[in-house]
Amino acid sequence: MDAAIDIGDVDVVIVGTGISESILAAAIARTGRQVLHLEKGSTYGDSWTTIDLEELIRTSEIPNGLATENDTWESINSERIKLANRSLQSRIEVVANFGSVDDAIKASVDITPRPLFCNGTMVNLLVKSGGGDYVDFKALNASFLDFGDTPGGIQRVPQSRSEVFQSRLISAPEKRLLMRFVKICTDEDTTTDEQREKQMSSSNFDEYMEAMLLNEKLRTLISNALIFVEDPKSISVQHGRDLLQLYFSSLARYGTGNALLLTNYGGSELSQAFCRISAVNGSIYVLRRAVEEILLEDGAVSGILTTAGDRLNTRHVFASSMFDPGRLGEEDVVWRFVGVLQRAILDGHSRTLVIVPKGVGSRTSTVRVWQVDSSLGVCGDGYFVLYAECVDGSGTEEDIRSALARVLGESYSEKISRGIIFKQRMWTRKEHGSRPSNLEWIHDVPVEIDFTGAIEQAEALFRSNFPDEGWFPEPVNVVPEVSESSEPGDANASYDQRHDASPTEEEPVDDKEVLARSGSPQTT
Amino acid sequence: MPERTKLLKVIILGESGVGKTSILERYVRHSFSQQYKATIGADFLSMDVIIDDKPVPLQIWDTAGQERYQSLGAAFYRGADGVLLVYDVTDARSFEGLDAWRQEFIVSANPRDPDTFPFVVLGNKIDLISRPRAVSQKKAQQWCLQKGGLTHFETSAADNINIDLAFETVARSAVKRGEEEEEFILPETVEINRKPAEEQCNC
Repeated sequence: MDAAIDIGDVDVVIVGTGISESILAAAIARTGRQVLHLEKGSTYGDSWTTIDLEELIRTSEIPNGLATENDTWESINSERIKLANRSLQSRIEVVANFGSVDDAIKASVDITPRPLFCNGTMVNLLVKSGGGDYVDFKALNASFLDFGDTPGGIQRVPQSRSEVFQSRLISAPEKRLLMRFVKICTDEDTTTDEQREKQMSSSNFDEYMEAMLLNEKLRTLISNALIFVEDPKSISVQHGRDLLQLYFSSLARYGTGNALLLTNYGGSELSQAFCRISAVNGSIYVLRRAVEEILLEDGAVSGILTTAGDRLNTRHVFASSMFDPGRLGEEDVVWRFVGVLQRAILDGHSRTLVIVPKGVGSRTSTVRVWQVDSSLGVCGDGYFVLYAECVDGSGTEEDIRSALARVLGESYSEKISRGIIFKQRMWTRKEHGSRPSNLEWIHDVPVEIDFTGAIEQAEALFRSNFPDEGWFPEPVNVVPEVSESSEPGDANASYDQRHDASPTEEEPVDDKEVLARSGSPQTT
Repeated sequence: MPERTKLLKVIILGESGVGKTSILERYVRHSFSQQYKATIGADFLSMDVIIDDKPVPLQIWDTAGQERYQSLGAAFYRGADGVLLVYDVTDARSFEGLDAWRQEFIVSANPRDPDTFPFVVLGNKIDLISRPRAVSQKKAQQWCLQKGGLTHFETSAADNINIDLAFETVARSAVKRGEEEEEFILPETVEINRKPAEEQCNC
């Protein structure tokens, strides 16, 4: 298993296969540079990996390897940086267990599960880079918002125009206000001078919604379930409008009836898609191999030494900041729940999102709860994987518990066949001590819908280190010659021209009339 | 949705250097290069294979070199309808590795009823007379029998021996299996490379 890495010198070493690392590996490989990409774990994805639920529970029982002051001061000298001995279990601290090993159910779960927008940064990068060939998605079936005790608890979020009209959640005048607001926000051309003035005079998006006569119920609906912002006072009018446009262009993009997608087989597939692009462009992949030391010469990185004794020269190292020996303990935490149910939540849809906002009850953070089923290839028929996450870093275990109680009822622990509440440790801080200019740390990114933070980080690192190169440029479309031959079945032989992005067939569009039809034009 | 023939995904597995890319190149492009270089740039190749007078779209996936340090990852195996297991007849170690590749596929792809899954075993490089043979045909056939009667061919990508037959065999078994069993296809998959809905139907 521990075959020596016998490839000579490389241009770039990347340590860790998280999303940012994998995107960066693909982008650098596309420039023709030789990349060596190492992953300490046995699967792709690092904190984004998808693993068996029982394995996750077992893993988290192993001592966590958080660094101490003592580790740090002897880790760095003029010849080397000894990396922190951390791994996946350093990221996870389980605080509550549901069910026992005897209740074990086979299910693949994400450590950092994440829905994404149909027209968001990840989908667009996958289409641009060709990674879309390696990963598939399903749309959510239904979204719900918890309005608390009034006006009636958990309500379905209407998506299409007809759903808005049928919804008993909002009155007829409210419907008109909502539709008008959406139209104004998503279509610049129809905005009147008066509306533009309101936009200019509002200092944040919440004020703007108020100026546009939206009542508290509608503002709660828009902020929590359409733009996914906990506090609309914290964002500018333009930002709010951009997010609303993102939502409606996502709703329209594939005619799926919902703006959000989930990754088939779990989120680790996304890392693997970018690693495959990277491999196809010549990168070397080694799982189960950790970097022990980064070697220095005259204050710059000159090479690496792996735990298996491989010693290679390199010009650049990009490493997950989890391995930064200068970081002590944890910096941020995200509270999460993951578990398996044998009955669907709410109305029995297979892929369902429920937003339990901060304002409901005494929660300190909004909690997003979502359910996936066997249609995603992560569990058997009749089972459901349920995730919950605190959106805000100030969230608590209690927030997770109260959200589970809202969605599953007060006796929620009886309804969970197997699961855990855990604290996910994050190394998100950008500031750190001095480092050689050819060593970059890749940080964890905060909770969000979609992968904008992770993608932006990868792109920023790429541009600052390789300023003369393009970010996933359109490849020159070289089609290898196909030799003339009369053998049957040969005529269609060709390298797949997947970058040629022409549509292969006309697919019927879901005939649901989505709100966005009247709204923004496609921005891509 | 218009009915369409299911695309068959075939993957080629085996140790580095057994000739996986050469086999692919020979089959799809009818070419062969004497020079060995570790695979760069090979992704997947598409072509139609004719089975019972019907064209069946075949997508053949190369390992992109990720097999070299046993680092393929589960995504590569997902949804495969057939597997070509390749060894080098002059390299005993490559033959001994087949069992691990077969196991890894079964664990990662988790196919229904792995005992009947279409594996076709190829002993490649039979044209090489400069190197002594390390794996006899008999030994390979015995192993195939042990594993539930896998089809076995000895091949040469250089001399174009049994290459077309190997692909046709794996495609035929995959088609047959698809007809016999209820196919395991995840429903409602959103194809993101599809053109956006708005641009298709500007109504």
